[in-house]
Amino acid sequence: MGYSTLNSRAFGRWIASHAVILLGSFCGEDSLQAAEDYLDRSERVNGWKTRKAFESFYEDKRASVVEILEAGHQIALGTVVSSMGHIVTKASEFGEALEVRDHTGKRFVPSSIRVDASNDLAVIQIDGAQWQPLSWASPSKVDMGMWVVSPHEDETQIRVGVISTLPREVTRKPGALGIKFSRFFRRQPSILEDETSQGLRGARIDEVVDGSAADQAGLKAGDRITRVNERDVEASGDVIEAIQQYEAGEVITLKYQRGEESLVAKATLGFFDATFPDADLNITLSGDISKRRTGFQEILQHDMPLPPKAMGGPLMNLQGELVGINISRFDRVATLALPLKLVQDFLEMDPDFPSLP
Amino acid sequence: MLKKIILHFSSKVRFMPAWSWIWMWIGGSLFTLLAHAGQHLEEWVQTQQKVQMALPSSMAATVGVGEGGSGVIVSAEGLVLTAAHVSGPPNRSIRCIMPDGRRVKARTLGKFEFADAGMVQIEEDGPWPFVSMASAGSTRAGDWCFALGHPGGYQAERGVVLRVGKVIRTRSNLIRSDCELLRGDSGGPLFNLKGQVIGIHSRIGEPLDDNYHAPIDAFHKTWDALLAVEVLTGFREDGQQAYLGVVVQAHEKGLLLEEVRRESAAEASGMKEGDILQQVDDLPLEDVDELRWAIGSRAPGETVRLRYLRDGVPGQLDITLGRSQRRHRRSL
Repeated sequence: MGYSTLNSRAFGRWIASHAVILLGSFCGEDSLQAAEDYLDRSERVNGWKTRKAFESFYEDKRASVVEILEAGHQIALGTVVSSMGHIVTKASEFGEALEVRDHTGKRFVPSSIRVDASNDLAVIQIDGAQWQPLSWASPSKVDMGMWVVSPHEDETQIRVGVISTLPREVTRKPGALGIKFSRFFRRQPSILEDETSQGLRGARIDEVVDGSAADQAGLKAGDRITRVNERDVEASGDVIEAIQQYEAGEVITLKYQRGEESLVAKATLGFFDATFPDADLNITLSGDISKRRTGFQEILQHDMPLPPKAMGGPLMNLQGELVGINISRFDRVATLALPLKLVQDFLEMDPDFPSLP
Repeated sequence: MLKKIILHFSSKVRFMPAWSWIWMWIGGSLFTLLAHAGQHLEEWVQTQQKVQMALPSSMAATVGVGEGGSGVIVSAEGLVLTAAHVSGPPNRSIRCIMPDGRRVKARTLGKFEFADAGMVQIEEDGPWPFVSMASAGSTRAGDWCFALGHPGGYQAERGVVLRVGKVIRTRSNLIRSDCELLRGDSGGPLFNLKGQVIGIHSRIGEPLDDNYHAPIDAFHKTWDALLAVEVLTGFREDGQQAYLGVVVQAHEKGLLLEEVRRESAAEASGMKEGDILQQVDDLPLEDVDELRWAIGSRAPGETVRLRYLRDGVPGQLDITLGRSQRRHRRSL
């Protein structure tokens, strides 16, 4: 067959068929499938072949995802929600000195940040930025078993998973001070009585967790807590009960005895799971997880293996529409996302916010 | 650009110059990638449809078992498959938690410890919602699968948790998949896309795709014994476990033979302390578990070919395996 007889369509087909055979040995799957009864890493649900298959899907969504930087390092992702420079992200990950880096690598300094502590959301506005927001899926389109796609921490890559449960509320765990009491003292009231007779009062701290709220407030093992805010405390149980009234991020005032001295400290409570990671074996088996994992009015749970730094990124359906904002890497089997309804309520609290896409 | 090349060909040139091959290569690559992308997403859409179709019945049959385990009902009379380490000792009274939160009385039956396969019988009146089991040998690496269970234990407000993945490897005592599991999932079901049980969640390693399930084949093979409340602790379903008679430890070149048991097959064959065992038949020995598997899965009287190093010199022996002195003993 001479090349002169080829019309353009036939030639296109010829290229396609021959090139596929030619390239088959380079990027085809046949050679691997014939191998032993073992699935190569590349073929697994989040292997590179999946990522490759979703590359064209993600290409034009990429411009709607930004990196949130603190002191030059990425701490979270952000999702573009307006064409006027509004970005939604996870609030509890950042402190100050924020920057935003877009898909072209350009950096911006936020002109305003608004936080909704109840759901851990933040909206950041960048003046003059003109990114394209993703289109929003209708809420009725989210159900269990549905594929979802999100950018990884390296936001040029994506991960795929399914919605794992029905939507639900995740109630908040109380905050943690980071002190431990000896069981011995709790079980031996006679010793306590002895100590009381010696004029020693309050609950004796047995151990202070490194880097915890108590540590930062200057508490030490051996100190005796006598008061938590307005409440007088005697035994360790009183202290635990008193602290459980407060949430992570709240500041409490503690009165304590160190030897003869009476001291006062202010402590900003930490997240329970971040303070006591060994308390739950499932957490030790889960790798990196988010500090704030609880306290959301409603969440969508999915099984994508995302690192905490990928939180704030978009949760999309297979049509590339936005269905939620990733808000917490919970454990090995679960990542939590806020449904659009909550995001929308939060955005619309700002009268200046442009109408949603 | 492509059009230009085509026109070029269709006029006079009969020999394709080198650069046109490059263009074809690029065009072909693009086509391949796009074709793959299209195929893949189509496959994903179909997988989702099948999973969602199977979900209602598979969720209805997935239960909580005992203190913080899971299980799946496989008969209208309330027979529950779970993990051996969840059901625990046989003939024990426990509770199963239905998807609606109802707690029902149940009794533990037998177990097959090597595969971590266990059984529980619900003792209250049915009929119970149940799912069917896949037939033996029907699961292959690369198959789509989905996992249900109660990671972290049963939580009423959350309900059963779904994960979708692929089968990574199958062996007689395990299926490995990339459906991520966590404590509390143990005993929960792994399904194929037809909604048939292909495995029961058992154990995990640290990497996210290190999730192991007891294969349904192990239940099929030990079915009658499990129903008869027997405890199988050996590697083989028939309890006839071969015995070599060695104590080994891991070594950079294989397994170092530390001790040869008296009157064992190893002693009779002339194996010596200090030998480094490297291979049993076709199986290279890198850790103790592999030797345990290679020997324990065979019956007494079978012959294996063992390759080893003695003072750095390779050698091989054909060894007729003996019988474990104590039945059901987990030893080499």
